[in-house]
Amino acid sequence: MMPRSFAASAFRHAALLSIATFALLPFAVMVSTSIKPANEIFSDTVRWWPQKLAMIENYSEAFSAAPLMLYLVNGVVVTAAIFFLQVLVALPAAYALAKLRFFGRHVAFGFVLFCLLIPYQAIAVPLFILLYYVGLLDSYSALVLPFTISVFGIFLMRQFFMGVPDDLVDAARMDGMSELSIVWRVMLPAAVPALTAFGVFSVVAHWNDYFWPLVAVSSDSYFTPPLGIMAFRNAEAGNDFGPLMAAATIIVAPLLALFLLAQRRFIEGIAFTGIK
Amino acid sequence: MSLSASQNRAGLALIAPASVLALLFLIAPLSSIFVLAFTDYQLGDRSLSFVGLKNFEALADDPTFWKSLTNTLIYSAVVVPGSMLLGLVSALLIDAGTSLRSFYRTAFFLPVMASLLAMAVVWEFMLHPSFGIVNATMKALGFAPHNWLKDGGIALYVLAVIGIWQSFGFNMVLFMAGLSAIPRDLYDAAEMDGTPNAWARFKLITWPLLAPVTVFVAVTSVIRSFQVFDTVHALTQGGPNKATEVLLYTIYAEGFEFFRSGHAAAITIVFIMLVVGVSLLRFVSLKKNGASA
Amino acid sequence: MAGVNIRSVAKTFGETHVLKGVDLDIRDGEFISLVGPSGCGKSTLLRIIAGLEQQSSGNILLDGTAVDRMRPRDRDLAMVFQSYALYPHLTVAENIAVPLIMRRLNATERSVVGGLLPSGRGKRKEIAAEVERVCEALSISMLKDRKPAALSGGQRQRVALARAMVRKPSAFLMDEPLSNLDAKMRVQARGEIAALHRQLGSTFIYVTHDQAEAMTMSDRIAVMMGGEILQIDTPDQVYQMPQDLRVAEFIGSPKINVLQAAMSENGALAFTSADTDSNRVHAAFRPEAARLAGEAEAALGGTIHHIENLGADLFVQVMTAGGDLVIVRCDPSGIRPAIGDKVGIHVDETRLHVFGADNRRIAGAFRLEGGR
Repeated sequence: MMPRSFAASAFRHAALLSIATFALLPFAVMVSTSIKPANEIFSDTVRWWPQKLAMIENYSEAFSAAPLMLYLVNGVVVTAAIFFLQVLVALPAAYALAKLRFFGRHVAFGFVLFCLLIPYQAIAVPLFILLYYVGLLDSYSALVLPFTISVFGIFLMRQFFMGVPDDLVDAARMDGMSELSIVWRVMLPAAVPALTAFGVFSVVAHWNDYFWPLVAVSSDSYFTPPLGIMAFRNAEAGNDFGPLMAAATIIVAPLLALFLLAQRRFIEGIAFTGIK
Repeated sequence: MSLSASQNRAGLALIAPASVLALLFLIAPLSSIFVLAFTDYQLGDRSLSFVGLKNFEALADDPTFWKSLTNTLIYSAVVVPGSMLLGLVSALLIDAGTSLRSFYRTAFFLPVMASLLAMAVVWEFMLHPSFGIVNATMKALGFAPHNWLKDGGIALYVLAVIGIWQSFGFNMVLFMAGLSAIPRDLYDAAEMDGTPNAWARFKLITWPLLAPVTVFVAVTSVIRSFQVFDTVHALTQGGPNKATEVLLYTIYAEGFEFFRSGHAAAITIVFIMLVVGVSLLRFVSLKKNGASA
Repeated sequence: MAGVNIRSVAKTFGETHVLKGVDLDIRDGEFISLVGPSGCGKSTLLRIIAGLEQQSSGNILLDGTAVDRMRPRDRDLAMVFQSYALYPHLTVAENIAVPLIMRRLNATERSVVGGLLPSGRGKRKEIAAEVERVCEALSISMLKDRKPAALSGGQRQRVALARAMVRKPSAFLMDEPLSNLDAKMRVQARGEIAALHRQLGSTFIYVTHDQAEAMTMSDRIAVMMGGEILQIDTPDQVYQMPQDLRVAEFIGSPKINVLQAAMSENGALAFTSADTDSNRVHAAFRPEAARLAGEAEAALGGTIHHIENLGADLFVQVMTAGGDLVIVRCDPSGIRPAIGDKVGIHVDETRLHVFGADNRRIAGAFRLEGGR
């Protein structure tokens, strides 16, 4: 390539910076408002940094007005439990589909492909009825159980396992391992990249999920972060913007911090799960 | 025991937990959708009776359903091209230079990672009619301010802009992965072959070689846009006057606010057909591409 | 048709000097090879000539005109890439047509509606005829409707050649075009490219790391190392009169024998690795410039370590007392030596090359003296 002229490079940055402004503006507004006192929020002049810093007031108000800490803990517990159970269920199935010949494997895999097409929201009504009858609504179980089976996880791990050499599996069998111990002691260590990608996918999806928690739980002791911020907004009648933005910042921060720390992993993970 | 019999047993044992859970949480619910849609069931009822196509007939006569379907398609028609174009342009611009690549990539991907609900609350504040930054900017530039989310004529498009904002970074990452798979030699060859400008090179190489990725991004974007819910529920509740009523929101209201499960199931079937239909389109186009590549 | 002049072209990437001021004059119609180990800067030089990269300093002249500010498109050169760089989504015929379409059709004629314009249609017909002619010349007409993925390596290489030829450029640039072919195909393709050069009479600039390719096809060879040209000469001269020790070592297979020697004022040489007061030099001779002799009658001797029998030649590896491995070519029809034999090596003094400590050739006649 010929070296680009100064004008071309300037154009590139100008265009990218305006897109970046669009992408980052809500975050800037959120953080900036979260440290402003009320009178500055409602003033006419746009100011990114407040004249009088109200950070401590807003953030302590956010933590005292709603059990934000509890919501965050709920978020961590629910996403961690979902991911752990998904791996526990999906890995053996993915291994079987990739490496074992058993009766019905083609049907099973066809079924996985079919279920990939169905968004979970489509089966929310019957799921809700099911949990209603077994009396599990409004509990951690209601938040976690429906997601323990991840056809996407099975599909992704199966595709990855297809690339693991058969020799490795045969060698493990020669060493006397059972099929189940091959899954955990041979395949799992080999699958770390794919598992990371799936983990990113699963954690992002369930930390941010709003539809199902909204349907499944009603007591605020089970609220996940997105439900929490809605409850906060509704309780505060939506006009106490300083603490509201502080609460939004607190809820967005954990995942974004994780993302900024390991952004390459995240982006590769998303691209990997997307392309496959 | 023969080798194949032991593999058979191991295979079945290993997929057993997944099968049981799938039966319970996927197959049973999915099949009951197709049963529920033909009943008058309401949550809490002790019995149900089959009503034939009555739920669907009711749908056909229900202006809210039609409004909801139209709104979903309009939303999709704005968000899909918008987020794809912005995603592609971002990917191409980032790829065209070497400086600040990871800064831009990270910045554009932040909205994908952030909880859409929390950010919807931020957007609501930005769009606030009296002290939101959007109207402040409009006034500064000499335009009339709007009540963005309360104006039935524009509320859906405002939600679409938020949809584009949230999803273009995801498309950008997929496009960048697609771009990185195009050999650099081809661009050198095109340069030698006399392509007059970057646009000619884009048409000769980038666009055709990116086609499979583009189809994939399009299908994913359409399906994601059909699932719009968070912003509607948080910001407009389907209003004003059904202007932002979308399918998933209607399903939610019917199924979980009015508990008319049969009715909700009928709408769900429409929703499923849309989503599955779009996915099947992708298989068709893959076949076509696969044959010629 | 054009001559190419390269005037002190240098290229640096940060601290790395890829090219350190290269001068090279390529005559119109000449076949010149840039040969050297990987990383010597030969590909970079080719890409600078093409205009795909910009030199840090110096000039490129095509037909006497400086083209440094000119884009590749305007330089009237064609290039064959190592990977062939065929457009995977276009058929063979479409691939070959691209250079003509890009130059002869304007933006509207190239667009989708272009086929409807009478001017566009007429030009497209002409282009199709020219593509057909080139396909016939390279006998790939039957492949015209295939996609590159459905072609063998040799066929892809021909399509890449056709795409370069179709435009009748003033010079051809080739970047290791044969390195993705198997050994047999490569020998055949060497002959074809050389024949093509004679037939077209255009300037060919050919980059390769394979000294045999350079030797067999070129009018002249430029041997490059470390971002410099060490020697530019005909294949014969490069082989028989290497001006630099590194050239001598790079050209020729098996490799030339290089031994430490001490040279006295009067041109007498003695092979030795010991530290002496006299002038220390490298003495080099090719395997065919030596023959096996009785142990006592030669300046050099040792034990036979290994014999490579190539059928037409025997290459005998002799381990000298000094620990050097010397290769001597023998006639397989003569007396066969055996491994472990103690032999002497007689070196033809007229074909002895002597290089100083700076690796440059020392001219003159030399006399070998006994003593190890």
